[in-house]
Amino acid sequence: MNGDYFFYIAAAYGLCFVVLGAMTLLTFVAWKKVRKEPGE
Amino acid sequence: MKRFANPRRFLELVKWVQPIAVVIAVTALALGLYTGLVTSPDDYQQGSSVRIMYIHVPAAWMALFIYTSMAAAAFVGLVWKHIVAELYAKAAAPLGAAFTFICLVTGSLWGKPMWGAWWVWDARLTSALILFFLYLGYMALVDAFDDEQKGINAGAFLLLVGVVNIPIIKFSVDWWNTLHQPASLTRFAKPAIDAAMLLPLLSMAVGFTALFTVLVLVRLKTEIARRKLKIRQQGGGA
Repeated sequence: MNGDYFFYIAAAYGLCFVVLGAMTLLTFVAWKKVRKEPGE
Repeated sequence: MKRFANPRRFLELVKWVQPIAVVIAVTALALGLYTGLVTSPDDYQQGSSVRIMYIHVPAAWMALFIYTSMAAAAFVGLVWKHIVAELYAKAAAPLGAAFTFICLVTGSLWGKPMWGAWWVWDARLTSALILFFLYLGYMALVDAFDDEQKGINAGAFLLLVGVVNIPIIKFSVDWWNTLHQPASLTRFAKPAIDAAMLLPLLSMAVGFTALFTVLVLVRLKTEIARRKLKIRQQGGGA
C-alpha cells in the first residue's frame, strides 16, 4: 500500500470499525438491560 | 415460516443460529481485513484507494438487502399478523441505517481523491441518500406513536412505499448518465474484477452479513422480551 491515500483508507476503516462497534455495543447493552428488568 | 411466527419457536432457532453466525462473522471479517489491507494489490487506476471499496461495496449491498428484507417483513406482518416479522423490521432499521451511513461516508472518502469531490448529486448517490432518510424516517415514525402496534403498522406502510427506491438505486447507473461507475459483479457474467480483489470484497460481504445476522437476532430477542414484559406489567396492573 502506498502512502498517497493513507488518510482516506484509515478514515474509512476507522469509521466502519467505530460505527459497527457502537451498534454492537448498543445492541448488547439493550439486551442486558431488558434481561435485568424484574419479571424477565 | 409460519412456525416461527411463534416467538418461542423462533427463539429456539436463534439458540443455534447465533453462535454459528458469530464464528462466520469473526472469520470472514478477519480474512477480509487481512486480504483487503495486506495481500490485495493496488488498482492500476485507483491505486491503494481501491481498498476503500472492500468496505463501501459490501456496506451498500447490506443497505439494500436490509431495506428489502424489512419491506418483505412489513408485508408479511401486515397481511398475516406475523409477530416476529413485525418486530424484525423494527430491529433491523438501525442496522440498515448504520450500513447506509458507512456506504455514504466511505463513498465520499473514495470520491474525494478519485473525482475531486466529496459529493455529487448523481442518481446513485442521491437515491442512496434518500434510502438513508427512509431508514431514519421509519425509525422516527415507529417511535412517534404511543400505541406500539399503530407505530409498527404506519412504519410498515412507509417501508412498502419506499421500496420503489431499491430498484432505482440498483439500476440508476444503467438508466442515467452517472458519475458512479456501473456494476462490476452481475449474476450472469464473469466478474469484471480480479480474484485477488474479489476475495476481500466477498469476505467482507459475508462478514457484514453474518455480523448483521448476529445483531438483528439479539435485537429481535430484546424486542420480544420487551413485549413480553409489557404484557406482564399490563396484566399485573389490570
